[in-house]
Amino acid sequence: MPAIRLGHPLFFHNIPFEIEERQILREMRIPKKSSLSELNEPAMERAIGQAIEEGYRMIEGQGVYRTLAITKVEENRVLTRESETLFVGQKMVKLLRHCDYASLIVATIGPKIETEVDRLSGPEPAHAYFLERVGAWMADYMGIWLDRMLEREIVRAGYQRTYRFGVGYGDWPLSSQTEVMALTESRKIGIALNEAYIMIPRLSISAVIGWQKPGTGPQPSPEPESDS
Amino acid sequence: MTPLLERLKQDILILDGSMGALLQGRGLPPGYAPDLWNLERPQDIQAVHAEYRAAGSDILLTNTFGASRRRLAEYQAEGKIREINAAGVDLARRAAAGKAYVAGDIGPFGSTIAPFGDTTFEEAVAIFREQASLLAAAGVDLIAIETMFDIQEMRAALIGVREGAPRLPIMAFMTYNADGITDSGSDPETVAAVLEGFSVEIMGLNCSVGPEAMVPVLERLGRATHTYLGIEPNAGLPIHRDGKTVYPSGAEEMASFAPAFVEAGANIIGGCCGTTPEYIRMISKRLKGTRPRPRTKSPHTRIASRTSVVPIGAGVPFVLIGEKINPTGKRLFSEAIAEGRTDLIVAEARKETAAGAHALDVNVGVPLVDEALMMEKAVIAIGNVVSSPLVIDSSFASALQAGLRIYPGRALVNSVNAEEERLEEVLPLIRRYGAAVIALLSGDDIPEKAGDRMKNAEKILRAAERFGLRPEDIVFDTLALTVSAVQEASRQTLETIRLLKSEWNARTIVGLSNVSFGLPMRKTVHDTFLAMAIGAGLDGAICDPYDPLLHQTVAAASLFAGRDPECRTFIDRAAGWSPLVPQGEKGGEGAQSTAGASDPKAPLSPLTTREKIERAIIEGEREAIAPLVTQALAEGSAPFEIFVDQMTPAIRKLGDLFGARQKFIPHLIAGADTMKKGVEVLQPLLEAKGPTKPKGTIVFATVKGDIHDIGKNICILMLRNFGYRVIDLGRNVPLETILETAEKEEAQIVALSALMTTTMIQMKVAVDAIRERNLPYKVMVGGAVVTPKFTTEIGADGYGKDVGEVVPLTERILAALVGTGTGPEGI
Repeated sequence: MPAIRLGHPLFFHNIPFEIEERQILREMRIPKKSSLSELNEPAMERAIGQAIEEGYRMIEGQGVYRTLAITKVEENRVLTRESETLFVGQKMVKLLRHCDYASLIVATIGPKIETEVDRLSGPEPAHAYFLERVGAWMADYMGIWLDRMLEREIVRAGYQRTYRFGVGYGDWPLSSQTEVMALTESRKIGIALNEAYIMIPRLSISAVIGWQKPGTGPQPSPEPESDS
Repeated sequence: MTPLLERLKQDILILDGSMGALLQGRGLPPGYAPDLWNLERPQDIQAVHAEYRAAGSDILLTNTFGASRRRLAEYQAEGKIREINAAGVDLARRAAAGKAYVAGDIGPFGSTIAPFGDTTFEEAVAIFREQASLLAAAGVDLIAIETMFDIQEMRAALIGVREGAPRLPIMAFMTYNADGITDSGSDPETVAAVLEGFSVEIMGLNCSVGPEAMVPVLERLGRATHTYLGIEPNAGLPIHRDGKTVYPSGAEEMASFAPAFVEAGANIIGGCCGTTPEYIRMISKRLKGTRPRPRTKSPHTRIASRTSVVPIGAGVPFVLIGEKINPTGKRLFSEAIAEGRTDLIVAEARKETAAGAHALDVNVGVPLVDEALMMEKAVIAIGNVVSSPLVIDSSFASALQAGLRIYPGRALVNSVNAEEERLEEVLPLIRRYGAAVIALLSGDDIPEKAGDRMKNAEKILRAAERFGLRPEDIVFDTLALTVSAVQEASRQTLETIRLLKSEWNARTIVGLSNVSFGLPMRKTVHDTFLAMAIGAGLDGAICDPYDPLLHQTVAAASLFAGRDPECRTFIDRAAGWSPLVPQGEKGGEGAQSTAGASDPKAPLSPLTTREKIERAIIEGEREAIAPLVTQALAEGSAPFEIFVDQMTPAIRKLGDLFGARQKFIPHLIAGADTMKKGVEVLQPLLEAKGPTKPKGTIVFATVKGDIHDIGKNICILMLRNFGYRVIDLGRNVPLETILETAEKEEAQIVALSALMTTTMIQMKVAVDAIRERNLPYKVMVGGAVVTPKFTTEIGADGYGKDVGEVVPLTERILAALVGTGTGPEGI
C-alpha cells in the first residue's frame, strides 16, 4: 500500500479541464437543457458559447491538498498533530468523529476571469454575468478534480471519504481560512485572504474531507456541500 | 542464470508479494520507512526474501521502493542512500542464492511533477537516475519501476533509469484505479504507447485494486502492446477490521485468477499489498508448466497525449494533423507569442480539435522570441484543454527538447531530414524522451526522383537505429512539392509513398497545403492530390482541418484504402455533412431543398422595427439593438416613445416570461443588457430634451467585507432600464459611506447585497443604524445566502430572491412610500 502522504502539501498546477455546457446551463439555472444547441436561441447560444471559449483561454486551474493526522476528538473540536484550533464546531466533530485523517483542499481557477468580469461589469453586464457563471462552475470543477484525486488515495488506504465541508459553512468559522491557507501554503498557488477572510481570487474553493473507516460515519452526499 | 529476457520467451515467471505487511509482522512500526531496515534489521529483510524464494518467486524485488533521495529525506536518511540501496540488493541476492533474478525496486518519489506538480521534470529524472545507478552498481538483474500514478512521473523515471542503468532491462508498472484509468487520467492503451516509446522490456500494472478488477486492464494492455507484461494485484482493496488494515482476497482466490492473467498476456505474475508467500506459492502451483501466450507486434506508430492515443499506419483511420498553430503569416498570432501569451494558441487548438483534427502541430517560431520557453508554455496550455496528441514543430533542438520534456505523452517531432547535423541533433532527443519523429526525405537538397528520396530514407533509418530507435518510431514525409512549379516532383512523391509502403511497410505523411500553391481553386487541387496519395498508401497529412472538402475527401478515399471497414465511418459522417457539390438524385434534391427551404420559425410577413426591437430584447440580441433603435428614430419614432412604448413593454414581457418560467435568469440579464445598449443610443437625445424625473433613487452597495458584486450589478442594470436612478457604491462599502450617500442623493431606498454568511451580518448593522438614527430610507436586501427569514429577523423592508424580483420589489416599496406620503415626487 502506498504510504499516506502526510506532512506536506501536495500541489497541482495546470489541472486539465473541460467546460461542460450542461454544467454551465445548470449554473445559470436554465433547467432541462444539456447543451447550448438545445436552447434553440441563437443569440443566447452565441453569448454563452463565447463565455465558455473565453473560459478556456483564461482558466489556470491549480490546487493543493494536505492530509493531517487526527490525534484526538473532543466535544467541540478535533485535534491534529499540526493544529488544535483548526477543526472546531459541532458539525466538524460530527464530520470527523470516525476519521483517522483529514485533508484540507484548496483550488482556484486563477485571477483572469474575475479581472475580466470586473472590467466588463459596467459596459457589458450580460457578458460579465455569463463569464462569471463559467468561472463559478469551474472553480467548483477544480475542487471536484482535487476531491477525486484525493478520494482515490483514501480508497487505496482502506478508508472512505466523508463529504466535502467548506470553510465558513455551518459552525466552522470563516476565520479558519487563515490556518487553512497557512497549512496548505496556498500562497504558492496565488491565493491570499482579504480582511474578511475571503479568498482572492474569489473564484477559489477551500474545504476539508475526512478519512473515515468504512461504515462508521456520515456518507458522502452525491452533491458535495458547497465550498467557501 | 539464463538472461531474463530469454527466459521470458519460454516461461511465465513468478514475482514476489508484499514486503511491508510481512515486515510489520516482524515489528516494523506503522509509518516507519521499510527501506531503513536494510541497514537496521537486515536479517528480517533477507528472511522475507527467502520466504518468497521458497514459495516459488523467480524474481525478488529489492526492499528499496522508497529508497530515493527525496523519500529518504523524509526520514533524514538521504545521507545513507548508497548503503540502503546496496544493502537492499545484497540481501535479495543472498536470498536468491542464484535461483532468482533480483529486480532493483523503485517507487514514486513522493511528490507531484511538472506540469502538474512543483518538482521539475529534470529534478525528478535526477532522483530516479541516482537510485537506478546505485542499484545497477550493486548488481541487480533488472530495474522495476512500480506503483506510478502519473504517466509523467513514469516518463521521468524511465529516462532516469535508462541513464542511470543503461544496460538493464526495465519492468515498468503503472497503478490503475477500478475504472481502468490512472490517477492522472491515462488509460492502458495510452500508457502502452508512451512506454513503448521508451522501449521498456516489460510493462504492466500493480497495486490499488484486486485481481478481478485488474483482468480487464491487463487484457487492454495485452491488445495494445506486444511487449512482455507483468501484473501484481493487491489482495483486494483494504478494509479496516478490529483496528487493523486487512485485505479481503485470500490466496486461493488470488491464484484462481492466474490463468486469466496468462490468457490476457501476462509473462510475470506476483502480488502487491496484502499478499504473502502463501499467495505466491498458490500462484506458482497453479501456473506450473504454463507457457506464455504469444502476441503480435503492431506495425503502427502510435503517438499519445496524457489521455488519448492515435495510431498512424495502414488499416487504421487516416490521421489529420492540424497545421493552424503556426505564426507564419498571422500578425495577431505572432504578437501574442511575442508577448508570451497562449490564449490564441489555446483557441486555435480548441477549434482545430472541434473541426476534426486528430493531432495538432505546434509551431511557435517567432523571430527574437525564446522559442524553447514559448514551446513549453504552449504545450502545457494546449494539454490543459484538449486531449489530442501533439506534434512538436521547430527548427531549434532547444525548443524541441523543451516541448518534449514537459509533454506528458508521446509526441511526434516535426522533423529531421537526412542532413547529418540535424540527425545528430534531433535523434538523441527522440530517444531520450520516447518520442516519434517525422523524417523529411530531403538532404542537402530535395531529390526529384523517388529512388533518391528512398536513399535519404535509408540514411535516416540507419541513423535512427544507431541512436536506439525502432522503425516504428519514424514517420516518413515524402515531400509534397508545389505542383505548379515542379509537376514531375509530385508524381515522384506518390511513387515514394508506394515504395515506402511496398518495401518497408513504413508510415508516411505529407504537408499538404504547399502542393496547390500558385494555382486557382487550391482546395480542389490539394484535396485531389490527397485522394491520390491516400490511394498510394499515405497514412496522414499535416493540413487545414477547417476545410470541409478535405474531410469528405479523406473519408471517401479511405473507403478505397482499407481504412473504413464496411464503410461505417463514411456513412456515419455523411449524415452530418452538407453536400459541397451537387450529388445528383437524392443529394441534389437535398441540396436544393436546403438552399430554398423556408425557416419554419420565420414569420409569414416581415417584422416591423418595433417588433424587431421587442424580439431583440426578449431574445437578448445585444448586437442587433443599436441599429434597430437608430432605424426606429429614422422612421420617425420619438426617443421617449421608443423607450416607454417599445423597449419598456418588451422588458416587462420578458419579466412575465421569466415569471412563467419560460425564460430564465440569463435571458433576463441578456435582455436587460440589450435594452441598456438601446438606451445608450437614446440617452443623448433624451437628455437634450431636458432632465427627466427619475422614478425613484436607490443607493446600492455590496456590504463591508464582501467583494462579490456581479448580482448587484445586474440588479442595477435592471433598475436603470426601468427608469430608476441608482447610485452604485461598488463593493466592500463601509456603512457610513452608504448613509452619507443616501442622505446626499435623497434616496428612498438603500439596497444591500452580500454573498457570504460572514458578511451578511453587515445588513443587520445597517438596518439597526437606520432605525436608531430614525433615517427615512427603506432597506432592501439580497444575495446568495440571504433568506426571507433573515430579512424579517433583521427588520429589512424587502428581500429579492434573484435579479427577476428587484424591479417588482422596488415598485412595491416605493408604492408603499407613496401611500405614506414619503415617496418620491411623481410616483
